[in-house]
Amino acid sequence: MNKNTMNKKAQFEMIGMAIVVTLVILGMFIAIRLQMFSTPSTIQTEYGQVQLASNFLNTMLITNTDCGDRIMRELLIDCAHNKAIKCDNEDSCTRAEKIMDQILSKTLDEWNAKYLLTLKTKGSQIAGIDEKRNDCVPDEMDTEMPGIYYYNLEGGKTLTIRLDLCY
Amino acid sequence: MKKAQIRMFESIATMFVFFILLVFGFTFYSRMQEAKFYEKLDELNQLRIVELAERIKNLPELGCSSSAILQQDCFDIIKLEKIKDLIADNTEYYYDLILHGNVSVIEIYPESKTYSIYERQKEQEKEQGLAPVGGKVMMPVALYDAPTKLTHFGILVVQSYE
Repeated sequence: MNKNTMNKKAQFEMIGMAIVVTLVILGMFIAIRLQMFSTPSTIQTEYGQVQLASNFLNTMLITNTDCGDRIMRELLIDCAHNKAIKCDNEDSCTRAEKIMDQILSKTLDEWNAKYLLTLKTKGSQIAGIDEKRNDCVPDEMDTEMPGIYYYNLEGGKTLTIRLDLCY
Repeated sequence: MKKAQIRMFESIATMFVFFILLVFGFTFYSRMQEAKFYEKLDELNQLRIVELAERIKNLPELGCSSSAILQQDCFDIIKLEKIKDLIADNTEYYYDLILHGNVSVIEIYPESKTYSIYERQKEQEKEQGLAPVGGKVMMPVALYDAPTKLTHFGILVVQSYE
């Protein structure tokens, strides 16, 4: 075998080795990238979303207010129905909304939670209380099981109180 | 002779590169396994905090009762005020339950009040003056004031330092 042939053979072998090393390094980089973008555990997030919505609503609805010690649920039902309850100089809607804002500002707002709280009869938000939203559009974002409560009102109407948490 | 030497050198060089690659690959694999291990540990930690929060929420030492029936998601305010003494008298039992962590209840409405129930930091962190870190779970709970028969809005905060 002459010198030229031997040199060529050696060069081919070196190229082969270089290709193998390059492939191995490339494979490692891909594996590292995949590892970096793996989704973190969501147990706490998922648990929080499912429990938080219903627990929050349930607790808020049974909280006594400063309107004759009535619970929030009574004020909200009255607001949706005939606004008969008077709380000092305010009606039930105004007082209930103030209390709701107070609770939300110290909890979900402070935690930067994305939520949508609605009170509806026949598919429309009740007059007197605005829907409470913080960057949450349930139809467009991922949500977990919402907290929902239904109350029958006189005249065949139903009050639906719903809290959606988005993430 | 020269040819044999070249061939030997080639074999040694190949084996050398092979072993370098082997070591490289093994180190890389170990690092991947370590990362997976910490991910699993984090997941188990989260599960633990959630489980702990549920257990504390259902402690009879804190729960409201009506006609001897325990109510869900409700703490009795009088029990809240007294539980710290109870924990101080039964440190080992509650340490076994909670380990290192911080449990408190914050009254949101009508008043703003914090009831600190349990706090235990790791000794090493305490000596070094390090702020404790750990996962946190916050759950709304009703706070029942038996004398006035009124229910307040509160948040149970459970933080684990493990």
